[in-house]
Amino acid sequence: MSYPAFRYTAPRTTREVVETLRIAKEKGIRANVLAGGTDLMPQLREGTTTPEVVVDISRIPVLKRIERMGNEIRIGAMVTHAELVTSELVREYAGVLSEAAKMVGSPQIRNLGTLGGNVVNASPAADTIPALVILEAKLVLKGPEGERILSVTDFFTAPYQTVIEADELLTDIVVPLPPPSGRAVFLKLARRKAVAIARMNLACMLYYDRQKETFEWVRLCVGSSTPRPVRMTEAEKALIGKPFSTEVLQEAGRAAAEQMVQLSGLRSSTAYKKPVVGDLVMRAVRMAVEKG
Amino acid sequence: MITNVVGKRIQRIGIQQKVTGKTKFAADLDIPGALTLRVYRSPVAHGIVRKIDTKKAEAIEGVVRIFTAKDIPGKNLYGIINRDQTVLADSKVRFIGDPIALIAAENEKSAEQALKALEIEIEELPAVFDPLEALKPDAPRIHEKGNLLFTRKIKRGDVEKGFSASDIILEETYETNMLEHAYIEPESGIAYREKEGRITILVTTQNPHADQAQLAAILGIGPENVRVIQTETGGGFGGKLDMSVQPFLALAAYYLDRPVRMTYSREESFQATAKRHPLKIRMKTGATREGKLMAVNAEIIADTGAYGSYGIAVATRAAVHATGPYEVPNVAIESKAVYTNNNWSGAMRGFGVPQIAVAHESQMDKLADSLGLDPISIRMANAFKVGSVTPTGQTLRASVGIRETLKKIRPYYEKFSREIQETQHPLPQGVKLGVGVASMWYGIGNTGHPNPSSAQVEIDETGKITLLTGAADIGQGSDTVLLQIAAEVLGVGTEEILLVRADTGLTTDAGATSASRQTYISGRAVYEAATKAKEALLKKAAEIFNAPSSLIVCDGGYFYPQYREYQKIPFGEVAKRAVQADGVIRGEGTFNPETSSLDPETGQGIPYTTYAFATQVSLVRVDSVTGQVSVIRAASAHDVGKAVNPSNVEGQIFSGVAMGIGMGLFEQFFPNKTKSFDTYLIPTALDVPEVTPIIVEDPEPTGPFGAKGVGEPALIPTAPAILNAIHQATGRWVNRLPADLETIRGLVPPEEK
Repeated sequence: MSYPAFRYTAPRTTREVVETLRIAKEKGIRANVLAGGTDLMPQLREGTTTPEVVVDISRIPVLKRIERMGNEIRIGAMVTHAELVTSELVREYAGVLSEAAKMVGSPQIRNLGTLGGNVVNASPAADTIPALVILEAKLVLKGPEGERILSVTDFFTAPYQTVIEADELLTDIVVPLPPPSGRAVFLKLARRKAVAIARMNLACMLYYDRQKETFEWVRLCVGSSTPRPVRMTEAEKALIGKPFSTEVLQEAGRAAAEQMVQLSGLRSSTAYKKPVVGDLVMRAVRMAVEKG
Repeated sequence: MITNVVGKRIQRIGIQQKVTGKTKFAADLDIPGALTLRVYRSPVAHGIVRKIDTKKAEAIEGVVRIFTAKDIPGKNLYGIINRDQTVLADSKVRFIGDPIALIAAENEKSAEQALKALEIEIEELPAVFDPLEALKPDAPRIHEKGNLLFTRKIKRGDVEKGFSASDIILEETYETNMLEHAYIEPESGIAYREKEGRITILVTTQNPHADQAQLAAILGIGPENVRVIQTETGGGFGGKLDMSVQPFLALAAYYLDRPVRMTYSREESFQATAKRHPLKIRMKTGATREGKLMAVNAEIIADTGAYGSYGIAVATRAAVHATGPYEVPNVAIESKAVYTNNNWSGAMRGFGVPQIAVAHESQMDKLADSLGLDPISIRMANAFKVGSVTPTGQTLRASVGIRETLKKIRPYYEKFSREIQETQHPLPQGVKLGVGVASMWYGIGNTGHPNPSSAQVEIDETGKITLLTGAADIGQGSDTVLLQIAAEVLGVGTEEILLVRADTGLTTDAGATSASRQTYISGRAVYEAATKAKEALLKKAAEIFNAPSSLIVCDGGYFYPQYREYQKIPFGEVAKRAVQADGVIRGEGTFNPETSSLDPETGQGIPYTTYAFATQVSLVRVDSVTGQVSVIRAASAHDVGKAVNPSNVEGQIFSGVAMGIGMGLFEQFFPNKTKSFDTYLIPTALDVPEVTPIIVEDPEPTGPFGAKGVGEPALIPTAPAILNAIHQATGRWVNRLPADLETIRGLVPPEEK
């Protein structure tokens, strides 16, 4: 199984990338953007993706930066998972994204694979996506007409499907600084402890007011369980304004399980996933509250 | 016995090259002008090839030749035990992946195009994928002789009487998983025709001499016209005992005046090579109130898939070992190997014993649980000792270390149990800890068949020592161990001996690297060869010193008369004088442990001269919410007779635990679905716990310096120890492997989580 032949180009600016993509689109040439390659290369080998031109974006410095800009952190699309794990900025203000990135693949994969790639590949099992969802991240897409900014939840349409146009490039992931009161947890459930695709992953951030004994706000997203990433709003509602008790947690778990089934329908994996999603939500909420 | 080299932690031969990436494996070998080979494989599980049209494919630029069954000059039928496999299908295909045509091309791209351009028509036949279905009279017939490949029966005593005399009888069914070996190095080799006409094949293999014999038959030429050289082999675990690329390389080299090469992709390696036999086991065990075993009755069905490969050996070994390492007076076992249209199953580390151990060790813990005994006590109450009689009627004469392994494991069992009680911080809801014990026994070498090995030690006039062995070191370390044995006998360091190994042109047959047999059997052959060479030197030294040879000491690279070390003469000097007088010294060693064939009706006989024994304990964490199980600690005690190289033994133990975790918790090969490591998950470093290896040395009198084997034993107790620990944690038994997320999640009812 050898790799198919394709044209290869490695522009130095995002503008050139977009221009290349635009021309390709115009001429009906199949083009793929190559970031870390951890998803694209296996697809090329298997023949499930057959580009005529591959646009390598790994030589564009601006795509590799992590910067704080006012009340936001701007993460370039070429920032690797390993960099998310070690970045002090990310760890301080978006720790749950660091935690999620730490669970991706193996050291080798984390050294190559990028946040932008993880987002655009749009696997329902992607580890960073639930973290981005609860961070209410925004995505910056650059096209021939300029930039557009989308909420991360508006980006995905179905498994491996997004709204990105063939002539658009994801340049940045923008994370608004979450309220300092928030406590976050990321859980990954897989068949083994590394280099494993998530059977389920979960990101949760909440503020539990100990004086008032109520959940003030909750953000919850469960990956690998819905066709596209969404907030588990029913479970969030079940918690907000309520005290921390087993009954409340159980209600939230039940709500999450029901929302999952409602969104993904009954599948062969539902027998396992439905009860687990509920229990996992309970566990994550408990862990977040116990963080103080 | 005081030894200088044997028992020492000598660094593994070639290990520095391996860890620094310098070792050349078959796919790394440079062979200018070699053609690439690719195989067209059946896309259907069962069918008759009606038409093969190669015209379009042959017209593709770069395609040199396309071979089909009609091009095979000799016998198009091979197999390591029973011959039932075609090199290229002559009529029938029996699984998805059966080879039909072989393409030789200038490059990979042309070969791939040719694969797509081949026009092959197959008339599909009904297929059967379940061995129980395959045994039904109206099932599709996969081979002419029917779907039942083999039955092994073992009968001893009277099981009905044994059950009548039992206070407790447990009858359970178990199912084990189909597994892929997952060696790092995929199958690969090169071949060319030498000027004199001999076909030479350099290939990754566990079995060079058997390859040679089988290839000669396929090509219809004498074995002297085929030379198989084992290349550095990146793991085998039994998967490289059967031939893979060899027949294709040999066939192309036979016809074409060009060197050829072939390397399987990981996907082809998964699809085209043997798997571990999944077993269905029904086991009924009777015991007294005190936990003494009275009777074991078992039925075993092994799915051997499309071809026999080692199916007969697996069915036999599962039967022979079905009681576990325990005295059982009444035994009735029936074990069948059955053809299906699944991927063919063959040898894999343990030949059916890791599977049957799941049954006998679960039964032991179930008995202990019902009778209120602890898992070590019930095993101790039944464990073999010297003088015990096995289910095949063999009296164990020596080297029965099972009790010692149980004794050595008890403190770890207690320590792990204390650790659970002392766990300070509360565990997350639904998380439970448990400790599990499992023991095993494993007969070293082929079952009830002759097992000869041979070796030579040559010493030339410069004193240079050469050890020649046909034994393939596939990463398990036989090169190092065999050199240690020779060095110990000759009183020199291992670095003073040149090793020539696993080349049918230079070495004699040492038998397969399988059945944990190389240290014991080839080690003994090497011991004999070195001893004979030494005797020749001692004779010369005796002449020189004018003393009886029985009083000559050979040690540290010198010869001297006893108590007169000051007179010492270097080894090389004695060798020189001996060779000048009598010619090159050549010590010839052979060893064939005593076995006798098993009676076809009762299974009575001597399957092996000696057995390895082991006991393992593991501490596991069971998350009943997610279904995740992790092994957090393990200790494993192995009676190896004598650890020729303790580091090697420990390496085997570590790897056995690692492999057993995969078998126990998540590995499962689904025919035609599992394509690569993408979905076939083997343990990573994070999944493997701290392992405490414990070496027990109950010497085997016929082994070199008392050694037996450990390669397969290291794996065997792991999965059952995990299952028993899961039971301790959750109060529930798992009877089917793997104990995956879904199984564990479903095991514990919600109110107990």
